[in-house]
Amino acid sequence: MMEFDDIRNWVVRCVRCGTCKYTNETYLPSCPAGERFRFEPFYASGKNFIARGIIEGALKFSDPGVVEAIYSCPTCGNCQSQCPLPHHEHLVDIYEAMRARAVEEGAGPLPAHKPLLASLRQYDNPWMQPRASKVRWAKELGIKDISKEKARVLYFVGCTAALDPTLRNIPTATATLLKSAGVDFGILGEAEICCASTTLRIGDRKLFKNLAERNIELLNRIKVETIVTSCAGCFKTLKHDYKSIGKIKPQILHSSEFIYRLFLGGKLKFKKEANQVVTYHDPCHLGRLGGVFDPPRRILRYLPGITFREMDRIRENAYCCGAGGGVRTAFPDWATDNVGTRIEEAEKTGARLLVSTCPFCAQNFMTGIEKKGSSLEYVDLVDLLNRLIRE
Amino acid sequence: MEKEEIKKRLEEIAGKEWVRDDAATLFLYSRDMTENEPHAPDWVVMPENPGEIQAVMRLANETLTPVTPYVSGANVGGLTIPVKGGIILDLKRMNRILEINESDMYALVEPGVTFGHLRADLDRNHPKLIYTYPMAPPFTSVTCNALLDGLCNLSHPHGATSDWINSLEVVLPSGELARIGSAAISGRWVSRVPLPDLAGLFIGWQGLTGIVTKIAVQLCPKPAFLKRAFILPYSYSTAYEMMRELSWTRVLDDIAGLSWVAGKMMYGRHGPITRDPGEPGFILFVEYSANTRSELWSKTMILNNLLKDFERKGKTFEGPLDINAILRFFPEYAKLANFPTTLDFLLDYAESGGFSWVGSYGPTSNWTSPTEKGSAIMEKYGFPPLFNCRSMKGGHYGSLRFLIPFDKRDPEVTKKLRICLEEICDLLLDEGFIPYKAPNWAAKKIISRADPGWVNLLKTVKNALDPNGILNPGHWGF
Ligand SMILES: Cc1cc2nc3c(=O)[nH]c(=O)nc-3n(C[C@H](O)[C@H](O)[C@H](O)COP(=O)(O)OP(=O)(O)OC[C@H]3O[C@@H](n4cnc5c(N)ncnc54)[C@H](O)[C@@H]3O)c2cc1C
Ligand code: SF4
Ligand code: SF4
Repeated sequence: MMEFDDIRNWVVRCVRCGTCKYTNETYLPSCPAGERFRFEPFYASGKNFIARGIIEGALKFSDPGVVEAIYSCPTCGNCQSQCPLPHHEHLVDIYEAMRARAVEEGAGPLPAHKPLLASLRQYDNPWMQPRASKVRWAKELGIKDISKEKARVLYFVGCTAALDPTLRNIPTATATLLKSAGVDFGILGEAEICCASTTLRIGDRKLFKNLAERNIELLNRIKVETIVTSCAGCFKTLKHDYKSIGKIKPQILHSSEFIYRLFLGGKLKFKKEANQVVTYHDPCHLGRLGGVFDPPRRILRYLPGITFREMDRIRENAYCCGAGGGVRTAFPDWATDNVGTRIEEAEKTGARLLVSTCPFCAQNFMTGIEKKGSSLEYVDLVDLLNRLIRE
Repeated sequence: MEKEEIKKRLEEIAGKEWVRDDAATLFLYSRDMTENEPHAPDWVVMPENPGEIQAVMRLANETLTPVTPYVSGANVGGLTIPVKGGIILDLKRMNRILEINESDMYALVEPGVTFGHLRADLDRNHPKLIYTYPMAPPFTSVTCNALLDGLCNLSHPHGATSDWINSLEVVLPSGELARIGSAAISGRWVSRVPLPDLAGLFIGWQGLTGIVTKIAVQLCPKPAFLKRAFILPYSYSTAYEMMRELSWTRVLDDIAGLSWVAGKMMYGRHGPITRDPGEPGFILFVEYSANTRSELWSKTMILNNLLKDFERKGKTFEGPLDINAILRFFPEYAKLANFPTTLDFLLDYAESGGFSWVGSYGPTSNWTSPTEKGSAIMEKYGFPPLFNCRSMKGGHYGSLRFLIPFDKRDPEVTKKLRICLEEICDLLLDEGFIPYKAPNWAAKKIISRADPGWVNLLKTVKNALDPNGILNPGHWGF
């Protein structure tokens, strides 16, 4: 996380060479924003130059096109993987710092983002749902409430997985897998607070700080050894973005990493074969921006009956589904169109199952698959594993 | 016509979504990486096909609105800065590779097709064919490069990229559409001969005479074996003597060089760069190819024998060093091992997004003097003496380019840079070299020294094609 004043010396490094517009060596589109809007302001170089223009006084956040350009970006970080210059590792930080300054100056966020922030203030989740709804999925599963009972592992469910009824299989499958592997775990239930990824991505730093501080205090207080997340966004926020606010003592793992360890330890027994061709989508916040590429792939490669095929753009080059950074909220049609291109890439592999590891990507993929009438089935990795451990 | 009315008409032509005039967009298209003064357009339009470009040109004529074509804006000469405002036609959406003809060995592409895209398509779908690649970033336009007489890694045997053009389709300033070369007669995009060569009306003109909407460029068979080697001569004169003699061997695909400064930049050096005593002054790189191992071996022998002769003559140099051997010890050289490439070390040297140059073509018989004098000018103004050169078209001429990454934030540096570039430009002209991709200020210098008959003809052609002066005004002295 960077402050606007810290980006000065980085934005000037952009020379507008355009190398970030496509993937290195394979030359496939890398930037969903650029692909959609095509005009220069929407690429990484455009945002760098707008920042430079603002710093040098040639542009203001209130100027037409400025806020539109900086918010029309899922903050996927693909540009970071392609840009060869030293500022590359700060590109997403730069966009987030610009958004934060836009919010401070009253120019941001976009109107569509405001209800999310209001919901976060009122309910500690962005989905306008009362806190009690967060445990609905867990009823009758007999999961420990960690505020009342001690456990070694906290399953941090995340707002989207806990509150979107169409994604209920993600938390239930995760809990079932943890149970079947004999993991001593619990959930926070109603006490779980949004990780605040959304606030950071759309630029409300005050709210981010508030939620992050409360989370850090809570997550340290419950004294678990490990925190496991379902959501790539929660994972990246807790593990990487909180560092500028405070330290979370327990180790933070994404469910795919934790389950891979269980898998290696022989704790998961599969009773069925999938007999499917499968491909895998790297969520940006887990892969490129979170550094986790291999555990989900290794699991998929070892699963009985699975033929695993990679898409053209993978790992650091993986093409974003287009949901993140507030894009799905502000530009739902673009997010759906964008995921359509990723779905086509997945279809090209001949896969029947499209596996990924993020509830937020899941929402977008499921909408896209329906809109396209694709024969692909989207499955979260935990859901797939859960199907295979059952009789 | 009022601005709002022009905008409405543009939206009717290209679609509302593809016309922008907001402050952020105008800011982005008003400047490039160079020191050339920014100037904003009034609108940026992204057409999808030649028909839309024709309609824009008719509207521009009717309203006397300037039009500047644009693809990546990476020409390093301010050539896409709309110095008189008006419309920027960003051609990125016209990015289809229309045909790769394996038998006749050409690629027919739209102007938005970049080197990266062409390379990827050839590698994936036509692995027997290759194109020629510049040291420009991968996502710059194949069409623009050819129209700007680009220099690339196969320029030694085949010449500037303009020599690779078979046929064109172009929208004239009037809005009419014309085909040039064999495509005009037979519909086949195979050659520019045997016809009056009208391609010259558009090559080197920096978009002042027409907007090319299709271009067929020659492809080459991919050799089975390829070898890239580096030689490090201690003096410029030895380097150039070697380059000339190497071109006489007739066996090399690329003969090019960079000054020692580039080597230091490659290792991430910023700030003042000095030459250590005893350090080679030049990085000369050659590439050659063959169908068989024995042919490759024979070429290697020719190269080695020539270098032995140089040794016997007492000339000092290191090498030849095979690129693969170098890469084992110095992975930084990967940037010079495969094209297209992004020369990040060069672009980031000044750590502030500023990059400029004076590039030129001229007689290889006189490479050394402008190199030495040009380097001295650069040093005088506090810029590291970074230059590169290439043997062109069998050694019939050569390129010489002085490159200056500069601190764009510092107005004093920018002022110094302008003076330095002007001095180098004058020097090159004095020494028989002609600046290419000439920025407006350099074009004026060229014109001031040109044969008056040439200048008159230039004006006659421009006025005949573009009587209202609407295409890219302010460039080439118009
Ligand atoms: C670091 C670096 C290294 C480089 N190295 C090389 C090199 O080794 N060799 C080399 O040749 N070049 C080199 N270049 C220069 C440049 O990138 C290329 O010439 C490039 O191909 C220009 O493409 P572009 O898309 O940026 O063109 P633009 O800058 O967008 O346009 C170039 C010119 O063409 C005009 N134009 C655009 N479209 C059309 C059209 N359809 N019809 C007619 N005119 C049109 C524009 O108005 C402008 O005058 C380098 C550039 C950089 C930044
Ligand atoms: S962000 Fe990096 S890759 Fe993209 S244009 Fe700027 S310098 Fe080039
Ligand atoms: S973060 Fe993604 S969408 Fe945004 S500029 Fe970078 S590549 Fe484009």
